[in-house]
Amino acid sequence: MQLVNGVIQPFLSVNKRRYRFRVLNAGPSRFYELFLTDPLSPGTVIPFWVIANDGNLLPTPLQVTSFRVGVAERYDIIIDFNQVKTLIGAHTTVRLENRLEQTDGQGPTCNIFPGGQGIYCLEFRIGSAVADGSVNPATHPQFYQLPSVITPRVTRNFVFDRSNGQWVINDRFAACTEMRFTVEQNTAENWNIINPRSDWQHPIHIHDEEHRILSRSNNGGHHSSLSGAVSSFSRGDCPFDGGGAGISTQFPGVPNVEVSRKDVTRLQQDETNLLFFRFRDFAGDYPMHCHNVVHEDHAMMLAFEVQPGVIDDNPNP
Amino acid sequence: MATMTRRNVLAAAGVTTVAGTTALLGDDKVTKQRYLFQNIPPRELIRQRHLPNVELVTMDGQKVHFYDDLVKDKRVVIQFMYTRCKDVCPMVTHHLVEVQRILHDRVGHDIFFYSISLSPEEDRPEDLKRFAEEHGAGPGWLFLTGEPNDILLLRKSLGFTYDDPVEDADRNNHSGMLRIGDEPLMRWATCQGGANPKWIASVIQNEADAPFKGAVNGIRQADPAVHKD
Repeated sequence: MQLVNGVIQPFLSVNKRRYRFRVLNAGPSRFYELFLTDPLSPGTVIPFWVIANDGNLLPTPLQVTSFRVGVAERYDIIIDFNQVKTLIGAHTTVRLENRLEQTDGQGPTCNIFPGGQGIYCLEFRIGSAVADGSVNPATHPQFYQLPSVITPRVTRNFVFDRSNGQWVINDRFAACTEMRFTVEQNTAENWNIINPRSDWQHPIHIHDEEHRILSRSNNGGHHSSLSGAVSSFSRGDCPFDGGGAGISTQFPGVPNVEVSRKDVTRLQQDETNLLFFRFRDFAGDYPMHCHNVVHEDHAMMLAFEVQPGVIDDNPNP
Repeated sequence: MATMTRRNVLAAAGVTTVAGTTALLGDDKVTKQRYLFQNIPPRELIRQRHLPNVELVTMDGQKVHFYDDLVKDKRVVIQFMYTRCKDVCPMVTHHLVEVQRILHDRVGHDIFFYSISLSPEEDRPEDLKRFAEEHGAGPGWLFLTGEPNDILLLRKSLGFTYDDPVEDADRNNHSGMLRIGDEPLMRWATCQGGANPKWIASVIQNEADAPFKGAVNGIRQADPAVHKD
């Protein structure tokens, strides 16, 4: 049953002005691609704005028609209900609709439902006109300059896979008492997170420092890594297309709404994501894990430490 | 058209689920016991779905029933293996030997180990007995074989299964995981058999002891899986 803030078939009464919402995917396994739908005219395209990803402001607001959110990811959006009302005419409600098809725990299929055929999550009931003193995102206010990307001290690889019916990272199991590798504090690192499989997707959550996605590339996997054969359960490659805000020209394959600081990255089928980190303020022990809660419960996880003055160059920890 | 009542809807949903399950298992000629949702306590539903009472044979040739004799009122650790397995089964079995040493005399007292053959066609009781002795499995640990269809039902019911039929057919995909269960509380978990034995033992101990660590109104909870006899 689809719930928002614990409520079945929830609705929110809004006035004709801009609202900011933070959308958190708090489910165990499902990936969402959320659109705004007029239930009486589901073909109407209703744009809105993404302004932040995982709690971090984007450099500038981006207009979208949808965004894709994996478990534990957060998107801050602005919906201008005055503008929406002009698009839907005499109608008075729009709904946040998940149009991404997902039929099992492995991840979404490549199918995006037509408007009105997905799952409605939340209804907005648009009321009267009120004064709106908020900044119009269409004026492209500059929020934030992303920190610079520097040459990493080391590049590490992490393969998220399945082995003998269990989840593994670099062919090893979780042991929460063992630190797999040590990051030298106050240095930069690149991490390749790699999914060799064409069936499962994993939302990867890394504790301590946030990261940026430098590239999303197809690694041509298309196999179940165990047998080497093409999986009959292949989903094909259907990465998020940017939701109308396009793919970055600077960071290959990365949707513009993901050009921000992040702490959870969706690792899609057959994909290698290059992440950039600067480990600064905090030393100590931290986990990296798949945030599909079922995978997390089955220990698709590793622990690492951050320490000053410790050199560990292991590229495949 | 008849009015669709809630009960009708539930019954229809039940039929659909059974049909889906049959299709999943169809190639394996296994039929799963039909279950209905009405008037069945949740605990009983879990038993019907996941703990079939199939007949198995121990490494000593004794016939036992999985639910009645091996699981009911017990805490269990369940492994799937086969004796000709070259890498993963011997490793996990070796880890379990180490876990048994750590858990000491709890094994056979309030925690029971079961290793069930994934190759019931070729693993005879005497093969399992030799495998158990070679690895140094101690008391409180049974190695089991049985009819292939019964074992297939048992494996799938316990969740040792892949959606992808190619991966599901690979025995090595089912031999790395351990199923840890507490039947009186109907608490079921898994643990990676390839993990560090100390870690496996701590997971088992935590599953076994966590519900009884606290007290309610100053009264310590009785442990239903400890047999005083």
